[in-house]
Amino acid sequence: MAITALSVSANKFLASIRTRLLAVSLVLLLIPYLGYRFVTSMEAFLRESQERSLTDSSRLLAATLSERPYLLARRTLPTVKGSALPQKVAPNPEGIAAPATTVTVPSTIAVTVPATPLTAATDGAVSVEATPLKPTQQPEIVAQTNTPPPILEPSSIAAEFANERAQILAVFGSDDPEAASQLGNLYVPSEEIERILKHVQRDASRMWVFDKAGKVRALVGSFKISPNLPPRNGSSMNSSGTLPAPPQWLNQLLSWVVPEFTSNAAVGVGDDPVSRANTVMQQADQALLGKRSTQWRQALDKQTVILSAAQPIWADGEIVGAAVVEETTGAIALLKTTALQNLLLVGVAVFLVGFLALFLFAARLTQRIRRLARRADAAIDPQGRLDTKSFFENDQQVSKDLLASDEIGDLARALNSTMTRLSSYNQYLENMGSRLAHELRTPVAVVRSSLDNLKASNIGIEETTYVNRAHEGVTRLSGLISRLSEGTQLERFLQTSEKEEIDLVVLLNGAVTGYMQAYPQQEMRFEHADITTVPCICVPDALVQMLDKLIDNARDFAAPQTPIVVCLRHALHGNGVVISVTNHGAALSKDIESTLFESMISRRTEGNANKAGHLGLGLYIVRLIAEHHQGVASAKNLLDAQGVLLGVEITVLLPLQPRIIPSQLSYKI
Amino acid sequence: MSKNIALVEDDPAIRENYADALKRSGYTVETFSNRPEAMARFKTMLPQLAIIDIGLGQEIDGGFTLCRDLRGLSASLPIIFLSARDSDFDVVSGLRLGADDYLTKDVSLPHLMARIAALFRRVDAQAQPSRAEDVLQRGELVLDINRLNIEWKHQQVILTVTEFWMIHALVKFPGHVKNRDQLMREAEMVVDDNTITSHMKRIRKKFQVVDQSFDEIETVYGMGYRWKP
Repeated sequence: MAITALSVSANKFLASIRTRLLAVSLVLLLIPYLGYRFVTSMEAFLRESQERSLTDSSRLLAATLSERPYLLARRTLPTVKGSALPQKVAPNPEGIAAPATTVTVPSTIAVTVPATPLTAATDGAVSVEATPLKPTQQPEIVAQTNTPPPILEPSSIAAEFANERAQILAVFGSDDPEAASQLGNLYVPSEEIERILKHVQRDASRMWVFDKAGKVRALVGSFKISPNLPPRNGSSMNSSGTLPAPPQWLNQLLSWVVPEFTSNAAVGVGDDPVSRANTVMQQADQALLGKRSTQWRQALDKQTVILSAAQPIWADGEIVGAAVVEETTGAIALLKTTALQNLLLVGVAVFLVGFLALFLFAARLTQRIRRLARRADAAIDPQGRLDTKSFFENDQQVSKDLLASDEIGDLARALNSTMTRLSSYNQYLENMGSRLAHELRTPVAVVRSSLDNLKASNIGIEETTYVNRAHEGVTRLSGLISRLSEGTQLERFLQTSEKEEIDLVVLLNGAVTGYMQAYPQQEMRFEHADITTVPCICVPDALVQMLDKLIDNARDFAAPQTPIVVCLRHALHGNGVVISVTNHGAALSKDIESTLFESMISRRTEGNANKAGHLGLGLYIVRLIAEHHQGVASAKNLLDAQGVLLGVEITVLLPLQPRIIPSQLSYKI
Repeated sequence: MSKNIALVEDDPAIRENYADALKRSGYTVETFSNRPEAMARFKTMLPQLAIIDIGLGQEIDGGFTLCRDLRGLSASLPIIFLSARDSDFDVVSGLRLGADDYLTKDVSLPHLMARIAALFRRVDAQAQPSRAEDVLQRGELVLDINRLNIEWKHQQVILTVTEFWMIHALVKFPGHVKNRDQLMREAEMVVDDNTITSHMKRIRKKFQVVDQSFDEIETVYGMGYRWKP
C-alpha cells in the first residue's frame, strides 16, 4: 500500500508540468557544448595559423642565416684534452665550470685571448671563435655581462677574465640550459648566431641552428613561461576586457573542470619524453637533406603541444645548415582555457538564468492550474452539492484567472460557466421538491374542495363513506406535499433566523420533558452527567426541531419496552458538545450508513413505516440543522463489550462558539 | 342582504368549487380569472371581502399587485390570500401588502368559511360597542373576541385572524403550554412546524412594535408556547 502510494506520488512528481518543463530546460546545456565545439574549431584554426607563421619564421631565420654563411662555417680551435663536455651545468666546487662554452670575443681583444687561457688548467673545452667584428657591431658582450670593459692586463689576469667570461657566456648563452646540456658535445654554440636569433625570437619558443655537421650552433629561447605572470593577464581575451576576473573559488572550480576539456587536444606526432631533443634532431637531419617539415608533438607535461618547423639554410646553392623553430601552443592553450572558462561562466550563467526563468514560469503555471483544480474540487462538497458562489467570487486570484487572456483563463472561464450551469441545474433539482409541492397543491385543492362540496350536498350514507375515505387520502397527500417542501422551508427558515445564546442543558431538559409528556408510553431519559450548564449560540427552535426528528426516528426504531436515551457530553476533541440519541433495536445496514443523512433516504420498511408516510427527510433535516450550526451528524451501531448489538446511536457534534460576533450572524446560502 | 365576496382565482375548478361553497353559505360571489378583469370591476363596485390567488395566469405576482391596488381603493376591506405557495417569504409579502390573512390552498372549505365569517364578524363588530363578556383581560393585554381586536398596554396590535386565534389559544389559560398541534387546531390551519414557529415570531414582533420590552410569549422547547401568567 505504502509502496504504491509512494510510486504514485513519484509518478505524479515526474508527470507534473514543472518537472517536465525543467527537463526540457536541460536543452540549455547545449549552449556550453556548442561553445566548446566552437572553441575547439577555433583552436584548430589557430594552430594551423601558428603552424604557418612558425614555418614563415623558420624560413625567415633560414633566409637571414643564408645571408651570413660564414657564421655557419665553423672554425674551432683545437680542444684541450679533447674531452667531452661535462653534463653538469652548475659550476663545480673547483670553480672550474662551464660545459659547452662559447666565447665570442670582439676582434680587438681576440688576439690576446687565445694566448693566455690555453695554458691554464681548464677542464672545459674552450673554443674561441674569432669573429670579425662588423663596423656596425658594438662589442656588446661587455655590456651584457655587466663587467667593466676589459683592460689589457698581464696575461694571467687576462686569462682568468676570459675564462670567467666563457663560463658566464656558457651559462647565459642558451636560455634553456637544460636542453643545451642534453645536447652534450653536439652543442657548439655560436654567440653571433644566438644574438641574431634573439632578435627574432618569439615567446615560448626555441630556435635551433644546426650546421652542416649536425652540430647545434645556436639554441635560443625556452618553453618556460615566467611563473610570475598570471596566465590570464597576458591573454588577449582579458586585455579586451570581455569579462571581469572571476572570484577565486570559481577559478578553482573552472581549473578543475576546464583541463578535462583542454587536455585532449589532438596531437600529431607523439614524443619520446626521454629526449625531447631527438625529434628536433631528426627534423634537423631531414632539413640538412633539404626537406622542410613541420611537426606536432606533445610536451612532457602532456598538456601543451610543441610545434616545430625545420628549414634548410641555403647558401650559394648548397645546404649550409638547418634552422628549427619550436614553439609551444601554450598561448593557444591559454586562449582556449580562457575561452572555455569564459564560456563555462557564461554558459552556467545562461543556464541558471534560463533554468530559473523556466522554473518560475512553470511554478506560476502549475500554481494557477492547481488553484483552479483545488477550487473546482472545493466547489462540490462531500454531499455532492455545488457551492459555486463562494467559489469563484471569493478568491481574488481565481477571479484574476477568470480575466486572464491565456489558455488558463479560458479554462477558468469554461470551468466557471460549467459550474454556473451545473449550479443552476442543481438549484432546479433542489427546488424540485417545493416546486412539485406547489404544483401538486392546486390539483389537491381541487379534489379537496370538490369533496368538501360533495360532503355538503345531500348524499347517502354509502357515498359519505367513500367521500370520507377520499378525504382521508387527500389529507395524507397534503401532509406528504407539505413534507416534500420541508427541507426547502427549513433552509429558508434557517436563513432568516438569528442565533441567540441559550443554555443547552435547559433546552434539552425541557424538550425531553415535553417528549415524555407527549409519549407517556415510551420510556425516555436525559443523561448529562455532571454537565450543568452549556451556553450555546444557536437557533433554539431549529435545535428543537432537530431533536424532534431524532426522537421521531428513535421511536420508530426502538424495540418495545426499551428506553430512548438523550445524552449530552463534551466532545473528545476541541471545544464542542455531543448530543446523542440512542435507541435499542435493529442495526443500521452498512449500505445505508453513508447515505442516512441524505434527502429522500429512508431505512423504514413496510413494517415500521407509520401511517403519515415518510419521505426520508427526517435525518436530512437533522443534518441541515447540524450543519447550520457548523456541526456534524453521524450514526453508528452501538455494540457492547462482547460485540453484541445494543442499538443505534445518532450523534450530533456541535462546536461551541465563544460568543456572538456580528459577522457570524450572516449565513451563507 | 347577503355579503358580497369577490373571488379572484385562475384555476376554474377551484374557482367554481369555492364559489359554490361560498354561495351555499349564503354569500353572493363574483368570480374573476385575472387581475385586469377583477380590477375593472372593483373600480365600479367594491366587494365586502376579497379572496385572491397570488399567481394569476401569466402574472406570477398578480395577486400581490391586485391586493395593493385594492388596498388603495379601500383601507378597511378584508382581503384573504389563498395560494398554493407556502413559503414564509410569500406569507410575509402578502401580509405586508395589507392582507388580513394568508391561507394555503390545502385549507379545507369549512376552515375557509370559518375565517371568512370571523373576518366579517370583526368588520361588523368595529361598528358596535364592545360587549363586556366578549373581552378577555390578562394584565396589560385586552382581547376583544368579538372584534378580533387586541390591545397591549392600551395600544392596538394589528394581527391577522390566524394570529389572533393563536394568541387567544395561549391566553385562554395563561401558563398552560400549547403545543404546535393545539395551536394549529385553534387557528384552524394545516401547516408544518416551521410555519407555526414563523407565526409565533411574527406575533412577537408585532407586539414589540408596540412595546419594545414585550416578552410574554415563552417558548417551551420541545413542547410549545405559553403565555406568561
